[in-house]
This record gives sequence, C-alpha cells and structure tokens, in this order.
Amino acid sequence: MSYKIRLNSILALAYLLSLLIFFSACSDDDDPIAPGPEEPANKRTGFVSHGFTSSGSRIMKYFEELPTGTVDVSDGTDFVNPIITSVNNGALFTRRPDGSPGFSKMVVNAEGEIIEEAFIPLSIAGIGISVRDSLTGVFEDPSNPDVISVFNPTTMEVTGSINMSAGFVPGDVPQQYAAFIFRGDDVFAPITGVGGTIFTDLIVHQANFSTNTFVGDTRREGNGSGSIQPSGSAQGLDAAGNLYIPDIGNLFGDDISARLNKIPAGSNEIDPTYVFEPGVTLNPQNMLFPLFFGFRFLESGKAIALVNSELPQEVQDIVNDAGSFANITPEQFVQIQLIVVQAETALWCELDVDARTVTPIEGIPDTKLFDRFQVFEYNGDAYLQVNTAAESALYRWDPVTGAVSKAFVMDGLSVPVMYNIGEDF
Amino acid sequence: MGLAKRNSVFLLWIVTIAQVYGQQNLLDRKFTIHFKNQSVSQALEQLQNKGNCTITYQPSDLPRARRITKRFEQTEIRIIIKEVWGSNKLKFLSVGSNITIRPGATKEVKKEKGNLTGRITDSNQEPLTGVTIRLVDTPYGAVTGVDGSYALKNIPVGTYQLEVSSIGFEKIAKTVTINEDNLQIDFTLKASISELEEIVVFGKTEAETISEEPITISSLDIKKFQDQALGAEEVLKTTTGLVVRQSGGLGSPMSINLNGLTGNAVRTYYDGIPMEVYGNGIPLNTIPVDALERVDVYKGVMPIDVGTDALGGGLNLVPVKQSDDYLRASYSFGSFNTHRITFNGLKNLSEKTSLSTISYFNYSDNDYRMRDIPNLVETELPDGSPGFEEERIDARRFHDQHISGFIEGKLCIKELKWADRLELAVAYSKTADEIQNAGAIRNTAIGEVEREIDAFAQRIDYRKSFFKDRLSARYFGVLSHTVENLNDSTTNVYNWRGEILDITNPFGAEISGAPSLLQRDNVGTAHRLTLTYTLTDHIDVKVSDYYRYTRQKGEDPLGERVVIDGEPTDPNTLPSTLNRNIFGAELNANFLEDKLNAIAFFKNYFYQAESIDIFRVGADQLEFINTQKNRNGYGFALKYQLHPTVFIRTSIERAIRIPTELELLGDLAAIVPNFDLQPEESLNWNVGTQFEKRFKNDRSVLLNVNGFIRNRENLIRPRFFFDRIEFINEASVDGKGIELALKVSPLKNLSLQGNFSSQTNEIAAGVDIGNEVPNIPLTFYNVGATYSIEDLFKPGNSLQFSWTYLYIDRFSINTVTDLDTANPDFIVPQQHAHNAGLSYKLKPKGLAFSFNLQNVFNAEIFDNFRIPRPGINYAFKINYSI
Repeated sequence: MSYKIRLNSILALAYLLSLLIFFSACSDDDDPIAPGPEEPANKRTGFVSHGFTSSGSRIMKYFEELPTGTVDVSDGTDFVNPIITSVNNGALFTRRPDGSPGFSKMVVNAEGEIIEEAFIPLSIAGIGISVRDSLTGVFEDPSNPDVISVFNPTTMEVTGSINMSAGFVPGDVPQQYAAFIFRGDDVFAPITGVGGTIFTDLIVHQANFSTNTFVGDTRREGNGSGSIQPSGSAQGLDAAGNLYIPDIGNLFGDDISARLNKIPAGSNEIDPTYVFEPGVTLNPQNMLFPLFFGFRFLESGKAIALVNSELPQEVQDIVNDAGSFANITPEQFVQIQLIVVQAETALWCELDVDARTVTPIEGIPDTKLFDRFQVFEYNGDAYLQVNTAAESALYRWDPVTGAVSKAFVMDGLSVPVMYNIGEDF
Repeated sequence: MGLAKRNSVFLLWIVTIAQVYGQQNLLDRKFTIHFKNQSVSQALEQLQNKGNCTITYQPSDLPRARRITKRFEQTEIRIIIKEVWGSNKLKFLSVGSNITIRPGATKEVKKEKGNLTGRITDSNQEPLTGVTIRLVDTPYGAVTGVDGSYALKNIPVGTYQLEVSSIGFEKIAKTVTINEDNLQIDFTLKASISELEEIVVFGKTEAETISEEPITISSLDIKKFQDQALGAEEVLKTTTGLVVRQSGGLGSPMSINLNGLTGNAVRTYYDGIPMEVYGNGIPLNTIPVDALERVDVYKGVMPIDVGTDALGGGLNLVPVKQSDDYLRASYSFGSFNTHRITFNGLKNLSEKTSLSTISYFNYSDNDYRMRDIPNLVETELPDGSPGFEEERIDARRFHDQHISGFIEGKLCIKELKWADRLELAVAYSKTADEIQNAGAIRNTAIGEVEREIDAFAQRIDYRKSFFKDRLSARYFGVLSHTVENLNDSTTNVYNWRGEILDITNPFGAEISGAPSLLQRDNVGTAHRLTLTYTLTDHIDVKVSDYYRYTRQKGEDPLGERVVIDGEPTDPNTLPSTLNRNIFGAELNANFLEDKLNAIAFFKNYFYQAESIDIFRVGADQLEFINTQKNRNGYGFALKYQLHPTVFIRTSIERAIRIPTELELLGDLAAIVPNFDLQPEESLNWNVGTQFEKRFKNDRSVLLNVNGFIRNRENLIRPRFFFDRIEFINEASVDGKGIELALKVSPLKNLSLQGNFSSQTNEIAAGVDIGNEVPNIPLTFYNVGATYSIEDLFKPGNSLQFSWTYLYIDRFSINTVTDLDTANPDFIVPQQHAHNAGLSYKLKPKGLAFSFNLQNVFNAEIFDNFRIPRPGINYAFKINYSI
C-alpha cells in the first residue's frame, strides 16, 4: 500500500512536472497577451566626442569602442549649443543642444544615434547642471538665482528647489552658481556674479538634499585688490571625505594665485590654513598666470591637474620692455592675452594634496592651458588630453605604473573632447 | 498654299529681281532692312550682306558711339547709309558692287550755334532707347541713348521743323527755334496702336541695357511693379543668385545673400551712394516699389564709379527719375495692420529748374501668426516652488511694430554755364522698431526692446562736360548725421502669449548683457569724384575717387563705466573715427567694329581708424590708437557680340572689403579692437552668355546663363577668448555656382519668366574644410507669369494678373558634412511659396488698383535661422498719378 501510494505519488508528480514543462514550453509562443519586444536599451557604455565647427556649431559622435590611431570626429550629429557638464548612467547632461534656454538629457540610442531624450526648460540659459546619482541632480536657474533647483535625472522632472537666499552674496549683485560639488547629501556651490562681475572672495554656498535646506556658506578671503574667479571639480572628494574646491584666483595680475581650497572631512568651512597653489608650487616664477585646471581624484586615489608651468618668453619680453606688468599698453595687453591663449605651456601633473607637491607626468607633451579638455578613466587608465597647434590627442596614463602612451588623435573639428559615458561624474 | 498663289509669288519675285538688277546705280537700289541697336559698323555689315555688295570706309571716320535702331522699307541704299552714319554730308563712290564712303568736309562755325537736348520716354515714363530725333531737311539728327536722352549740338541758330519718331510710336512734329542758348525739350511718345501689330519695337529699357554691360549686372526694372503692393525686397527675390531674408516682419533686420556672399560682403547703395552713409536709416526692406526706378545687382564685380569695398558685389537702388512734371501717390493697406503711403512728384519751375520729392511712410503691427513654436509657461513644482513647462503653440507676434518714413526734397538745375546738371537734395528718414526676437525663435519673446534711428542727410550731385563732351565730370557729396537710440532695460520676461512671467531677468536687459539706454551719434560724410575722358571713339578713360569719414560717439546712462583719470567714464562718450579712400582707374575700349568691349580697372583701398582701447590695464590717461592699411585690387571685363542676338561676356575682380568700425574698433564693451585686422579679399569671376530675340507683337525670348566663382580669403570672423571677442582674419571659402534666367513672351500680353540658381560655398581652410558654409541656400529658383488684358471695359484701361512661385531647397543652419545625415532638427526644409497679384489701371485718369496675395497656399516658409515667415497675407493698393 505504502509502495503503491508512493508510486502513485511519483507518477502524479511526474505528470504534474510534464504538464509544467509542456505549458512552460508553449507559453511564450501561444500566450496572446504576452508582452511585445522590449524597447532597445540606450547605450550605457562607449564614448562620445564633442567638438566645434568653424561656424561655432557642435558635432557629437558615438564610438562603441575606445578609438585608436586618428579618428575623424566631424561626421557625427550636429547641434547648436550643447555643453556637457555631467554624465550619469550613460546619459549626458548638457545645456539644451538647440540653443534654447534649459538643460537636456542626451542619450545614445541602440542605433548609436545621439538624441535628446528629455529637457528642462528655462527662461534664461544657464550652464550649471550636475548629477549626483540616478535620482538626484541639481541645476542653476539664472532667472531664480537664490535657489538651487533639484531634479530627477532619470525622468528629468524638477522635484523641487532649495531656497539659498540666506547665503552670503557681496553687495547688491545678482549671482549665479558656477559649479556644484557633492559630498554625501550635501552640495557645495561657489557663486559668481551675473554679467561678468566677480567677487573678491571665493564664496561657497552649501545645501542639503535630505532636508532641502540651505546649510551655510564659507569663503576664501582674497586680499581685496582683485577678484577671485570660482571654479569647481565634480570629482574633488578624496577617500577620507575631504573636499577640494579649486579656484582660478585673479586671472590678471593682482597677485592672487589659483588655489586648491580644502573643506576637511566633517567640516563645512574652507580651511584657511590650507594653502596649496599648484601653479606657484610648480614654478614660483610663474607670477602672471599661476593657473591650473582639470583637478580631480582618480579611482586610484591620486589627484591630477593641468598646471601652467611657465610664462611664454614673448610675454616675458613684453613685460620686461614695459618695466612692469602695470605699465603695459593696451595693445601689449591684448597681445599678451592672445599669446597665452595659444601658448603650449601647461603640463599634466600628479598632485599630492597632503604634501602639497606637484609632479609633472613624464612623457606627456606640453599642452595649451586654455583649450577645452576632458579627462576620463577607462580600464584603470587615465586619458589626459593634449591640445597643441598640431593635434588634439589623448594620452593614456597608468597611475599605478606611470606608463604613458598616446592613445588616439581626434581630427576634423576644433578643440574636440571625448567623454566616457560609462563613467559617471 | 494653292498652285496659282505659289506661281504669282514666284512671278512677283522674278519681277522684283529684274527691277533690282535692272537699275544702273548701286546706290539707287532699294532695300527693306531693319537694325536693332547696332553700331554703325554692324549695320553696314548687315547692309553689305543684304545688298551683296562691299562698303568700304576709313574706320577712323566711323561715328563709334552711334547706334542705330530703325526699320527701312524699300529705301535707297544711299539714304540708308546716311541715316546709319547719321550724316547727310557723306560722299559716295560706287564702282560695280563696291561703295566707298567718305565723310564730307565740315566747316567749323564758330558762332551762332546752339544745342538741343532732352529725354524721351514712353507713357509709363520708361526711357526709350533708339528714338530718332531730327531736324527736317538738315543733317542734324540723333538717336536716344540708354537713358532716353538725346543731344543735337552745334546747330546753326534758326527755326526748324523737329521730328521725333520711333517704330511703334506716334511721330511727333514740332517747330523749334534754336538760339545760342541750350534748348531742352523732353518728349513722351504714345504707342501707335495701328503700328503695334505690324512693326517690331526694338527699344530697350535702361534696365535691359545695363544688364548687357560687360560687367555682370542684373538690373531689375522696378517701375513695372510700381502699381503693385510690394516692397523692394519682394521684387528682389525674383532675380537670380539673390536671397533676401529677414528676421521678422516689415522693416526687421534683413540679410542679402548674393552668389553665396552675405553680410558686409554685399554693399547696398542708394542712387550710387553707399547706404551706410545714412547709418541704417534707409533699410532696403522699408522702401516701397513706388520709390524706385530700378535695382542694379552687381555680381561680384563692381565698376569703379559705383563700387566701394564690396567683396561680393552690391545692389544699387535707383530712385524714381523723371524729367517731366508728374505726381504719383499711393496708399496700401494689408494684413497685420500694414499701411504704406508714397508721394513722389516733380515740378519743372522753368526749362532749367525743377523741384522734386520722393517720400514714403510705412506702418505695420507685424502681428503675424507663427506656427508650432516653443512657449514657456510657469508651473508649480511638487514642493510648491515655481517651475517651468514648455508647450508648442501657434503664436501671434505682439511686439514687432514698425514705423518708418523717408522724405527727400531735391532741387535740380540744368544747362548752366558752369554745370550741365546740379542737384541739391535734403533727406530725412526715421525708423522706429519694436524688437520681438533676436535671432532664432526661443521659448520666450522679447517684449520691450525698442530701437529708433533718425538720419538726416544733405546731398549735392554735380555734372559737367568739358572739351566738346570729351571730358565729363561727376561729383557727389553727402553729409549725414544719424542718431540711434536703443532701449533695452527691463527685468520683465515675456512668453509668446504676451504674458509677463513672475520671474525676473537678472541681466536687466533682453538682448544685451546689461541694461542699455544707448544713444549713438554718427556723423559721416562721403564724396566721390568721377572723371571720364574719351580718348578716341574707341577708348574711354575713367578715374574715380571715393572718400568717406565717420565719427561715432554716444552715451549710455545705464552702461558700464571705465575708470580713466580716476573718474568713472562712459566709454561711449569717447569718439572713434574711420577714414576710407577708394581710388579707381578704368580703361574702356571697343574693338572689332564694336563687337568686342573690354574694360580693365584698378582700385586702391586705404583706411585709417582711430579709437581708444578701454581694456588697457592700469590706464590712468586716455590714449588713442591709430591704425591704417593700404590694399590694391584690379579687374577686367570682356564682352563679345557674337551675333545681334547673342553675346558672351566674362569679368573678374580681385575685390577687397575694408573691416567695419565694429570689427576694427570694437564696441567699447565685449568686442575688443583689433588694429591689425586685414581687409578681406576675394577673387570673383563671372562668365556668361545671353541670347535675346524679339519678334512682332511684343513677343520675345531671352535666355541668360551665368557661371561664377568666388574664392574668398582672409575672411573676418569672431574669435572668443576669455570673456571677450576679437575679430580676426582666418576663414577661407571657395564658392561657385550657376544661374539661369529665362524670359519668354509667347503672346503680346503674356510674359513668362524663370530664374534658377545653384551654388556651393565650401570652407577652404580649417578643421571643417570641404563642408558647406551653413545657413546659406544652395539651390533656389522662381518662376512667374504675367498676363494683361488691354482695353478692358474702356479703351486704355488694362488688367494685369501676375503669379510667382518661389522655391528654396533645404539647407542646414549648422556646418555639416552631408545634408542627408545631418540633424533634421537644424535643417530648414524645402520651401514653396506662391504669390499672386491683380492690378487694374484706369486711363487717362491715372488711377490704378492692385491686390496682392503673398504665400497663397499658406505654406510654412522660413527666413534667417528658421524664423517663421507669415502665412497667407494680402495687401490692397490704390495709386494715383498725373
């Protein structure tokens, strides 16, 4: 009996199992309400180039694989005015590409086409949009300068705004946010004046996402003789939680050098005792343009920046002829500006933010300081852009071994840059 | 044809041959022959062929400048030759089939002689070419030139019977008394109804004649449009190689693209005077057709006595020119609350003195509807704070009102001892514009910016001939004062529904970076002296010098200040000046019995500028910067008349464009001066041919084909560095294209025309070499038809229908490698526009009515940077002239 029951049970189980297998085998084809094929997914990996035509329009092009050799970036998709400031989950966040005021989320679709997926309209064009993660991003609205607007980068819905009117703004000057740097649920935002006005201190406002409130402000005080141009780095947070905010100092001659400002972990204030001026450190004689751009931490924890290494001899000659910088004529001043814009005097350097040292990376040529560039990491290597009169090339640098090689050259557009859409920033 | 009729024709032919060859003297043989605007040598050659004879003469005896248009019916060959030669004092020697011509000796009469001059027009006041004026039973006669003028000189004083005749017009006979003073008589010829059906009329309008110059010119006869409710810019769209685009409605900023060149490369002139002298006070798209006689479009090559520093050619707007008393007034109203009034007239105070005026007034709300444009609306965010949404709507423009007016009064004195013609003119113009958009259409509108320009100009135009007309001189001088006011000082933000949003504009300005109440004073003067000397009957030498000075100064109570001598200073109050001088010399020669016309010219361009540089660091005193440059240009033009109906021509010019004040001196704001800026240069080359044949009953066919090359170097473009802009020389562009114009009149009252243009403008240097220059149409054409019904309801009344179709192929506003793969969001699609017109003219009352429909099928059409143009719109116009 027990055997019989067991056998029947086994047979019944086998029967049920066969039915299950049968129906499961048939269900995909026969179920009339089965869902259709899924929408092809947008690209999450790959590379997007961006460059200028001679008329000022922009061309963006998608590369499935990291290019090698010399690549033509001119045969991509044309746009009027995108400026990419953040990448998240394969999407590029930018000023609206048709020149309208507002911000856009651009994606690479399954066919490799770069399209605008959604946008946030504004009344006046702004530049600052930054994404922390797939749920939270912020942008500045020039028509409403006392708020930081918060949005959902996945849906591009504006979810709210943080009232920043309590933040310090010198004088009665309309201000806007020049950059956004995230630390946990906080965002730090240096301010600048609207219409070219620059403040004589570096002033940073702080807000918190979890409470949607203004937290406070902090500043690096200048010497009052000249303004300090704000800057920022989306990747300025080190492993210990220290936040580094670069500024440009006073660009022309008031003896305020570009500095890396430190907000120590656990603090909301710029540490006034931390003074690190990479341009001056690299070359103490670099008094006219002790600038650095592109500061960021790599995954390895190392920090890099493009540091101006010297004053072009032509500029030095002009200053020497005039006796001092204060004596130069208008023509000489414009001449100096034009020389430094074209000068290939900047070096990619490794920065030790604790020791406050600057070490040029061997094997990478001098590059133009003021050209656009974009740095990305891929497979553990950093790709550093070098712009010279001859070419725009990316150099591969292994931060561990220090090995350097030329990765590829971009051709066909003016000041082209490359984004790794698989790397969020 | 029946057999009997064929036989009788054959018999008649035999008899005629017998009669002709039976005559003993070749000079007595009679021929039927007609000449069409031919030189004497051409006419004699045709006569040789017709008469199967040889006519010999000394080429140096030929009256080179004379052209003949006349039909002779069974006229003796000696009379034909005399009329062709224009002299009764010819001596003939006839041997066999050879005729030798020698001019008879003419005795110099040193006293008691007078001149008779004047101008002959048709009933539409069009100048008539080729009209014969003669004093009966005397050797004194003349044929009118391209401007309808004639001159009989050195006539013994006395009373004569004057005859004015032209085929197709009623002959005029008049008794005139010549004394030692110059006598001027103008005539208006009436069309001969009885002869029109029988006889070919070969007269050419001035526009047609100019279009046949060796230098490639498309001259548009605007007067034939004067009854229609159109602006000059609408007529210009119907020529080859020319694209006219606006950034809004009537009076809005416009750009002219000529053979691929645009902006400052194409200069505009008003009656030969550079329009810039008027400080933008006379925008081309505010001038109604009533105010113009014609528009001459110079394609790439400019004569020395018209051109200045036009890199790609220019447009000369020739105002109405009449010598008889007349009065013409018109009023039109139409869509978008548009009203246009013109009033032109001339009164001869005496035979030598006249007063005239040209004036117009325009008003428009320009409130046309734009389709499917983005519009910003305010919403509430989930947390209750304000946010935005963008919708797409059809919106009516609400801040684009345009008001403009122009009035010129002119005193003309003729036949003075010290001046053949002297004109003194005073002109005032005003434009007041609301500005609705700056460039492309965005999601918000401009709601408060206004701009006004007041321009006052005084002009003198002096002409005098010397040395028995071998030397002619023309001088014009202009003194102008322009005041421009810009009000851009609001913090309001408007959407396209005309609503003021709750937000404020932190810049305090809608089109500027900062609030502005700018007033800019521009004082300018321009002078041109042209001397033409006839070296021989074949060769003319011409020199021309053009000088222009401008001084710009202003104030902006809201603008930024620079610190000079420790004091905040409005940089607009610091004057900047620009001097230009363009000298040209030209040699014009005819060869091969006037079949070949060659022109060679040289130009020298000089400019000197002075301004301050407000960007000086540590400046504690004002310092003016001075710069000057010098360049040479040259050109050559050749025309060969292959056949009376066909000519070929080619022209080439190394053209120069002097930088503008803005490019050179900056704007005392973001644009820095570049005193090292070099002039733009372009090598312009045209080659073309024209076939024209006219038939009886006003039937004709004209085909004009022109190819062109425009290779431009040193093009000036803005370079952005830091927060500033500097204009630099960098770009190069190679352009080439082909144009085709076809005019056919298959019936007396039907005229068909088509104009096709195709061009490329490839970037020749830089990163995107080989790509097309963006935002320029590559292929465009138009076709049109005009049909008139004469004597409708009443003799003399006429009804005219016109229809025009304009097509522009797609083009991108971005620089792209391939239109097929370019982003469609930035491609201006193919455009199809149909315009129609109907006009009814009453005679003799001088009333005319017209009704014009633009964009008949309400198609989506665009202007610069995809700015939507109006859908279907109308205008009704009433004209009165006496």
